[in-house]
Parts: sequence; C-alpha cells; structure tokens
Amino acid sequence: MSYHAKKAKAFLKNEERASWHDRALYAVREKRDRQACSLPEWEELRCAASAIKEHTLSHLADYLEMFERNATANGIVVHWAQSGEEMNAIVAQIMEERGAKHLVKSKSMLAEECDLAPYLEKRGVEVVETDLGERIVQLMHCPPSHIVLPAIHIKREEVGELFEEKLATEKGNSDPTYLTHEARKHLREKFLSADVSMTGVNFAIASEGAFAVCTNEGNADMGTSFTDTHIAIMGLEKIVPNMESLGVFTRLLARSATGQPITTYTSIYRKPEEGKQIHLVIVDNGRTESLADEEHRNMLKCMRCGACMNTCPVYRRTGGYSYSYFIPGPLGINLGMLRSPEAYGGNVSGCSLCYSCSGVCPAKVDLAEQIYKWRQQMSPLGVADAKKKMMVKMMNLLMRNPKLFNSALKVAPYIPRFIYNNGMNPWCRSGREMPHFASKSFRVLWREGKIKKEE
Amino acid sequence: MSAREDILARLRGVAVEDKAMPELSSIESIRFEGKVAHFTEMVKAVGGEVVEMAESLEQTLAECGVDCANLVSPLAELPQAVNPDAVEDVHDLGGDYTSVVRGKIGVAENGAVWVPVEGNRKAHLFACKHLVIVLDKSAIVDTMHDAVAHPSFKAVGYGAFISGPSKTADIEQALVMGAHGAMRATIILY
Repeated sequence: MSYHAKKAKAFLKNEERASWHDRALYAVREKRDRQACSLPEWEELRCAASAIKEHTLSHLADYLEMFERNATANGIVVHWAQSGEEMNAIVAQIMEERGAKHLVKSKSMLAEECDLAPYLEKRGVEVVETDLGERIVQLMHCPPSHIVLPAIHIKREEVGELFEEKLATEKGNSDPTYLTHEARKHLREKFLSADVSMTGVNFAIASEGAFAVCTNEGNADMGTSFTDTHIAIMGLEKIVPNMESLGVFTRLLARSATGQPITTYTSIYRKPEEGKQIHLVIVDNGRTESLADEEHRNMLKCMRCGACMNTCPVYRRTGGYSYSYFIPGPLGINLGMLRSPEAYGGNVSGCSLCYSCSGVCPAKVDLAEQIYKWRQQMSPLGVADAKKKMMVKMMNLLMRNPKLFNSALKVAPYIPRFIYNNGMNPWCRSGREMPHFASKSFRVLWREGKIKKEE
Repeated sequence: MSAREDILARLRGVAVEDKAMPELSSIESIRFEGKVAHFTEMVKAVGGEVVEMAESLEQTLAECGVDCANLVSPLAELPQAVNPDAVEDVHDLGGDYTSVVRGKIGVAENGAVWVPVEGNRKAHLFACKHLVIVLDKSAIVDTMHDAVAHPSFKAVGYGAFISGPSKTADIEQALVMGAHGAMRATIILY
C-alpha cells in the first residue's frame, strides 16, 4: 500500500467526518464555479495568466534584476537565498541585529517549505501565526492541512476546546463568531507587542519594485503597521512583469481560491514608512532546477490558490494529512515529486486522473498531465511499488499473448472464488466483491453467433 | 560567488524558449450598464455598506451612527479627528475608533476601493473598529484592468484595494466579520 493509501484509510475510519470534509470543500469549489461563470472572459483570463507566467519564466533572471533594481531604489532591502537554510539564516540575522524576539507572521507557504518557524524558535524567537486558521493549527502543534484553508479539517468544538485551554475562553462555547473575536483580542496583543513582522508575497511587480500581499483578515497589514521591520519572503517565481499583469491575477486569485470576487485586502507595498524598514528575501530552494525540467516547468506558474485541492475528489475524501509532502492535493503531489521522488513518491497514487485540477487551475498548470508523466517515471526512478510492478508485468504478459489470454478466460469461471475473492486481495478488504467471470466470454459468444445486431 | 550571482547565473544557464508577453488589451472584459449600482451590490455582497453623502461628511457619519468625537482621519474636512500622521506612536491610537479615509478608485466587479496612503501611517486602516471610505462616484470603473490603468492608481509608498470589512471563515467555513481589521466597512459616495 502506498503512503497515501495507508493514511487515507486512517482518515476514512471516521466516515462522518470524511463526508463533512468532502462537502465543505466541494462547497468552496461551487463558489469558485459561480464566480468563474459570472465572467464571460474567464477562459481568456486563464489563458492570459498562463501566457504572462510563461513569458516571465522565459525571462526570469531579467525580471528579477529589474525588480531588485526598482525595489532597491524604493528603499526596500533585497536579499537572495539559494536554499531554505540560507533564507532562515538571513531572517534570523535580521532579527538578531535588532535584538528582536517576537515575530508576527502572516501566511506563507515558503516559510513552511523552509521550516522557518522551528528554526527561529530554536534561537529563542517567539513566532506567532496571525491568520486565524494558521494560529489554530499552530496552537494544536499541527501543520496546515490545506494551503488556503489551513484548519479545514478541524471542527468548531475542537477549536472551542483548544481556545478554552490556550486563550481561557468560555467553557463549552464553540460559536465561530465568539471564538474568532476572542482570537482577535488575543492576536491584537501579539500585534501590539511584536518587534518584527513577516509576510509572504503573492505577486512581486518587476516594473515597480513593489509587491502585493493578499489577505481576507488584514493580518498581514496589522503586522506591518505596528512593527518597524517588515520581512517579506518570496519564491523567485512570484515575479510578474507589471501592474497590467497584476490586474489579470487579482481577478483570478480569490475567485479561484475561495469563490470571492477579490480578497478583502490586496495591499501593495512599494516603500517602507518613514523610519521603518522592509527587507525582502528572494528564495530559490530548488526552483531553478524545476525551471530546467522541461516536463515539469509549468509548476512554476502556480499562484497557490488551492483550487486544485478543492476540486480533487481524492483530496476531499482523504484530507491534507494523507500526503507526505507539506502541500497536499494535486499541487503537492507534483511539488513533492520535484523535491524528491524517493521521499514523496508515495503520494502519486493519490490521484484518479480525472483531470479536474487541470480544468480549474487559473494559470492553466497541467497538474494531472504531470502526475500522469510522473507515474510513467516511477519504475525508472526506482520508486515503483513492487507488488504493482509485478501485477503490471503479469498483465503485460497476458495482454500481449492472445492465446494465453483466451485460455485464461476459459479457465477463469472454474477457479474457486475463494482463491481470489478473499482478504488477501486489497480490492476485497473494504467489503467489496470481485466480479464473477462469465461462463462464456464475449469473444466465444460472438463466434457461436449468439450476438446479433438489433433489427 | 554570492547567492545572487549564483541564482542569476543558474537561471541564465537554463535554456527556456522565449515566450512573448501576451497582448492584454485584447481581453474583452465585462462592462456593467450601471457601474455605481453594480459596485453598490458588490460592496453589500462582501459585507460592506454604501451610503450617499448628505449635506456634509460629518452629518453623513452621524447618520451612519458614527461617534464623531472618536475619529481617526487625515482628512481636512474632519478637523476634530486625530490625524494618524500627528501621533508620536501608532500604538497609542488604540483600536476603538472609526477611521475615515478617501478612496481614489472604486471597482464595480468586486466592490474594492483603492485606498492609497499618502501620509506616513496606515495602522488606523486596520486597527479601527469601523472603516469609512469616501469615494467619488465618477471614479468607479468596471474591472481591475481599468483600476490598475487609472490615472489615480499612481505610485505611493503603500496602498490597498479594500473590499468590505475584515473577514475570516477559518472555523468550519462559517463567515465572521472582524477577524483583525475593521468589523464594519462603509463607503460614502458623492
């Protein structure tokens, strides 16, 4: 059994919760559909987004330099990091130089990718996630289970109990409005006492040396408003050429992600406030290798909206923790394989090849096509499941040899069912029955003239 | 070599077929018959309110139930308001006030308003209980394409498109207003 299949089995033990998870995410998918249908130019926008990203990727070094030049002229301090370790060290150094011990952070998948929080915590820094969902999973000592909806797998009663313990909220009160406003008070204190704030970057605009950060809660802006130092971290593929491109992406992002017409806040940072500083770290961490990989280069077009997860029938029914890479779903299967097929090959089976992800991606990333390509590579990469490999070999032998195939079909109805219809067969383990072999195959019936055209 | 040179050299070493920038002006984006009406509908859909300007700004605020003795605003029309750029430390502003600012562009497709911060301080836009944005009706455009091409969308140190009050649905997808920033958002059109 693959890693994904094993974990999925555990998730599916609680049928009621699994079904709730499925419905919650499908509702988000439906909201996305309504938004997409409200714009006649939706497909044109997706094509434009894809083309802008492809153009940018074909001139990435030039655009990064242009961005750096303009950002520096605006007073933003630009840093470069080849790896996650380098990024973490840069952030730690900025903190250390200021004697800063309290960091308020808005959501960043890059920080998760580089394990930034544990790195800083080891050095005595308090890292506070300020997005409500992220704060919930942080207080639970769990990773996010979705890139946009980090706590989508958690029930309100569990949040209520967590807040009772950590924030001293009323016993037994699990009303979302009450809990959200208690979290607001708790995090307001953190914002007001922080030394440094951190945000991700949704879009870095090369022509302006500015960057856009999108949130619904306003947590990114709260953080940067009350601290003197703002550290922004970005993967180097986050570059877009100009403001005109930003117009396209801001129309697609929230509609695809949560089915909103735009995020509540789309904030554009160009210059630090007087007396303050903005540090921006451009991070590679394997992205140039992905760019060199022609088959999988397209992954760099992703804008991290999570639409592929919400639509994925496998993700919805198995949850974010069924995948071994920190990003789940179709996106995570692909990014995990780019990171390390040895470590994350066990996710590739978590896909039914329905291609729905490719159909909803706002940047037209061919997620499913790429998963299919990875599946062809499992054996050459040495990460194929031995049992499946054996089965495919046997099927291959049978299918390529008509005599053997037909003889097998003749014999099949006489094989006692218990031989294949038992608990050893994974198909039967979840209470399913193997189909019955017909006493005569279609081919035999045809030859005997028993199949006639309808008059 | 530094990380910067290394990364740039590696990127330049990768042969990626040259792809042209697409012609974005050819996108036939949606046009609304009544921009103001659609904008109003969208602001309501994202949890905000839209009101028409009365005799004066102060009177309009009062009609919206705003305590005019408890304002933070850089606007000259509201001399009694605390000017966010005049306080020594934004931490001193607290959080129990109404912030009144001027928006420069309204976007009909999503109810967002472009709020450039022309002074040095933006904290009040987020820390307030109630955010009021004053907007000229004639500055409402159809889509984000029009917004980023608008003459008022000029270079400022910081600016934000704001669409309704702060919100979250992180607990069981139940929508709650007032996650961190404004719990209530009102657009005053004139």
